[in-house]
Amino acid sequence: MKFHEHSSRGEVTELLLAWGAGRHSALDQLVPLIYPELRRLAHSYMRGERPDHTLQTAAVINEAYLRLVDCARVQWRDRAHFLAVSAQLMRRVLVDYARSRQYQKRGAGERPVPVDAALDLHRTRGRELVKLDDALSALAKLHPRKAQVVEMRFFGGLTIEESAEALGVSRDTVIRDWQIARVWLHRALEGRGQHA
Amino acid sequence: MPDDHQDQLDEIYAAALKLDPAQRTAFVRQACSTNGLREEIESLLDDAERLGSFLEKPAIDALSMTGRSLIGVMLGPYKVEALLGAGGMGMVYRARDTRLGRAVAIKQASGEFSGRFLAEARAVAALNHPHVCTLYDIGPNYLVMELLEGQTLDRRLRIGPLPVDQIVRSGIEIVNALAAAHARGIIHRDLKPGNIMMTAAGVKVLDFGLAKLMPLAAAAVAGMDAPTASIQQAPRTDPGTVVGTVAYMSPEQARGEELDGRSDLFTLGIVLYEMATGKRPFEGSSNAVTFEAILNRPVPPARELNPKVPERLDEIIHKALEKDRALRYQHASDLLADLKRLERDSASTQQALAPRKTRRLWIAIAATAVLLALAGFWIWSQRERFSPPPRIAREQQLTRNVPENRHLGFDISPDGQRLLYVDMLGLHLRRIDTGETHDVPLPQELRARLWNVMYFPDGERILLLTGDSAEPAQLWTTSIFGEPPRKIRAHVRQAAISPDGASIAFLNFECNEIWVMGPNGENAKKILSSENDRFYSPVWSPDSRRLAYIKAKPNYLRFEEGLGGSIETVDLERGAREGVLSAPNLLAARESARLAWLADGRVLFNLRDDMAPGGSYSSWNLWGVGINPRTGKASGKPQKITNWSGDLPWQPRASRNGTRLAVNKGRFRNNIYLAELRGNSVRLDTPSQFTASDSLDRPYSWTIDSQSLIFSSDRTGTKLLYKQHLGRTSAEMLTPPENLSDRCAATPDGNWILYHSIVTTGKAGPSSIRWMRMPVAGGPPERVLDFSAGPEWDWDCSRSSRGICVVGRLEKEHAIFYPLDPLHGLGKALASTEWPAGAGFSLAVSPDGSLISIRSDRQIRFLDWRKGTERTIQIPAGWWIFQFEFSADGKAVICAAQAVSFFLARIELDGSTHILLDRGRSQSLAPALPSPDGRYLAFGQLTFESNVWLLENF
Repeated sequence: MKFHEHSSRGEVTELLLAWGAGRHSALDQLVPLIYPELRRLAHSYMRGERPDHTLQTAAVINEAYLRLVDCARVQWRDRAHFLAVSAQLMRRVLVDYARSRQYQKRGAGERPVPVDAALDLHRTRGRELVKLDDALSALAKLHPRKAQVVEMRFFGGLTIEESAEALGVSRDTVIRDWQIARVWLHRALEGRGQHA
Repeated sequence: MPDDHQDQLDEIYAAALKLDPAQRTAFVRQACSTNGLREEIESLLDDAERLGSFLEKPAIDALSMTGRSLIGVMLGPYKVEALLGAGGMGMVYRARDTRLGRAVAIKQASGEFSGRFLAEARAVAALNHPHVCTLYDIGPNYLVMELLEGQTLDRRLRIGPLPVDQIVRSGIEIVNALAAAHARGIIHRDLKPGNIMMTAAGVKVLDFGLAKLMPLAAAAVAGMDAPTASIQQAPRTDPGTVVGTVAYMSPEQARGEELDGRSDLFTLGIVLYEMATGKRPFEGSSNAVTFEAILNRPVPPARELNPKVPERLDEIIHKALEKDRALRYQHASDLLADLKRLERDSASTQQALAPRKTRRLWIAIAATAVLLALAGFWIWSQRERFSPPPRIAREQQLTRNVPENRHLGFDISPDGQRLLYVDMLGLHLRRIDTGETHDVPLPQELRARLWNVMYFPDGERILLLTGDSAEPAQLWTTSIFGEPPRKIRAHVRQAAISPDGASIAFLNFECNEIWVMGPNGENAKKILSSENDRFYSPVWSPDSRRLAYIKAKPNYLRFEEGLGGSIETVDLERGAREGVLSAPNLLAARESARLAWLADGRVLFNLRDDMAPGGSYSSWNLWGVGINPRTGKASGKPQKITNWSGDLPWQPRASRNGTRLAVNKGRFRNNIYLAELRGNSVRLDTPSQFTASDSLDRPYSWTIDSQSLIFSSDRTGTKLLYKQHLGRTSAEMLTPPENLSDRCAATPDGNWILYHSIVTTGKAGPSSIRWMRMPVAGGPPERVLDFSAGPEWDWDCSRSSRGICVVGRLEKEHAIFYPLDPLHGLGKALASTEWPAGAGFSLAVSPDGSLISIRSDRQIRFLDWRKGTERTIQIPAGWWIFQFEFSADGKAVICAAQAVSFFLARIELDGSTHILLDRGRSQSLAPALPSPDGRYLAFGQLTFESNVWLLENF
């Protein structure tokens, strides 16, 4: 039995370690440390203020990780935790964004005018994303891991391999979950919601 | 549905998908044991065929708004080409008038215009003035206007006040525009920095007389991300709320009276004041306070905020700001004359005066050493052991961008006198000695996509890197005077210009090839390529004969990318490659990694301090290694140049002679705030800042007497515990705890600070938990007990002398609670309750110790362990609670949470809620600790900042 060699670790690192050691409330404390940065980066990307290659979802998460976590200290499993939380947070960032757009649309209470056609496309996507978020929550009740795979891949921008690492399952399992979850969600969005 | 059915289904379905479609039917028929299963799988397969690219593109791409999607929409004769931005009135597009071939801006309203509006608009359209944005045409629900290149004054002001000569010049132009409009009976009515455009041709005033008549799109279509907008959306409980354009109203407007030209002049006074000081003269915590200030409060001289403001300008501003319009400038022409006289007089004095030097802020790195010495010998010796003493570098902060407007890329001019930098607002050129800044004009569409910039050796020509999702990574050349940019190459990730100006080295988009080409993109030639490695940050040797670059392995687990790699050099004539160094902690991330090759032969790189004790975030520092110009190999040992903690520096850029270095430094900062609880603790008064340092301060616990707060801080470069008395501004350092994990608390007896460490058992991870106690009065920590934690656990102490500490642990779907005594360790279980695994496990103990509360993501359960009763309340939908504690009265819990924005709330035992504070979405609040006597709430607030610094003598 030994202590970690060094007396102090990064704030986020500590929380990851505490989390890995069973103090699940440490996860909650991670959120305020990670979320604002993810959100800010993601929003500037969505507004087209920054080019995508500096801001692919995974790059956002990577940048946050480099800043926040003492990579040398945390175990593989804790890194996976960070991935999972970040994907979850990205989902939150993006869905909040989409929801607030919708709200503005409702708030405006105006009939659509021709110039809005292109803009509506954007709003439609936002609406779909909100619906998808609801469907994903429903999927999570039936098949939590499949929903997590979607969260990681679609919202977190993670690759199949990264998702597999984070979930601690094989690559094949992720592919399978991904394929089935896509069909399930597609059906749900078409209003043919049924189990798969 | 039984799980084996599901597994079977998953498996057969996945196997079938791998097959050729023609073979699937037979395979499924054979593999399925029942018809039901077969039908299900066939239906899945059918649907899978129709999925297309559903979900294949990440969500962020689906939501991103590059404006490109708008291309092609016709509005009458106007073809929409791009989205320029979004303002309070609606979206603004760039469009082309297909009849004239002219580029225009189109502002679209949310509804059709009224007859009254059209009449006004026609009058405005007749207004033709060089400093008024011309209104070309009026559609049924849109306005067609002159397309302007530049930035709004509003955005410019975020960087700080303007130089005096520019204030006077711009002021003259605005008054000229107002005079022309007033002469035609048009009053602007809504002059504000957001309606003033700074262009290469001077100021242009927008939206004459129209703003108030436009059918308003609700709550600013785009404003959701702007800091002010998010504050506006915050509930009114936030006493710090600042509301938008009320601040630009004249007294008569505030009173709802009829406006005239003099009202515009008052507003111009406000704008001039803000240009001079960077601050609005009338600003209150609410509309009412702002109104009151506009109506009654005198404005302090601008000179008090900015000593550079001449007295005469202050006089002009104050005459414009007379509250009684009869005492104000009566006509725009009067104000114009005063400004012109000031311009003439200051032009002559400026010639007479020697160039003014503004104050320079030299922060010697030695200051860190002083702080370290204060922190005690123990740390100092550890520092000594782990990091060699740095060379003394002198530092000066060059940009002061707010977190919302982080800069993206920058370069220092070859002569070291200027900084060219890109931020969210565009490209700016700053004189380092005076701080004077102006914008480099660029076409709007390029500006929006710009992310990095580089000087050619002549100090005039510049290289731009742009990109967005449609056209990633293009290279352009232009000049600091804003010549029309010319595209010279696409698909470029990073580039570097040789010191002789004859070549540009660049990385391909995939980062596995290094190329060299001529300065105009000609004669591109591949120098290096690799199947398995990635290259980053090519830089030129001072003699332009070699390149240095980082070589790293790609890693599919992306965290690892960005960390670890080697530095190599390549001889461009002979193609010979040499290794310089290799380090597991070298920054090798695609976007953040940058090398610099100085004139003295050193290559600078960025290394993480793995061994540095403490720091709440990992620290990175610049190092240098000499390179032998003949061999391209290292000529000595690497030496550390900076000694920063908690910063992530990147993109070092050196002046030609290598004596000045600009480098980007980003850091998180967390300060502790204190607010008084009022109205039975359901309201907060205005929070005041309790700690104010550049560090991460995290509140942990109150002392039981409510007199002091215990918090951690990395202000000395090492994370340590401090105690600060409420009435004081300085903190007292506590004995450094050993292996402090993420929580500590004062014990109810008032004598100890209790904390836990995590003890690992080798590689596989957890773990047992060790509780330690240390005297509040000071003294070494002692072990209380080791505890086998199990899968989920938590602990908490009452914030009262009547209370207890409790440890909770999940055992077989039950949460079991034990008392924890700082002297005697764990006692017998007090209570237990059924609790699902994986739902969340956070614990709080009431002040008198009678209630234990356990929280999942969705609910909070309160157990009265003496009576054996329990009660469960639901957490409001959409709330994500980060942390909670009992209120001092024991009748509620106080929590730090997020719904859309970050907020602090009180949740009563019956589940009803009060929001105490809402801080919007970009700054997080946590944790929140009520004082034991119930008077105060202490909380942390986190921000991220990143700015460019100048280093000398390194």
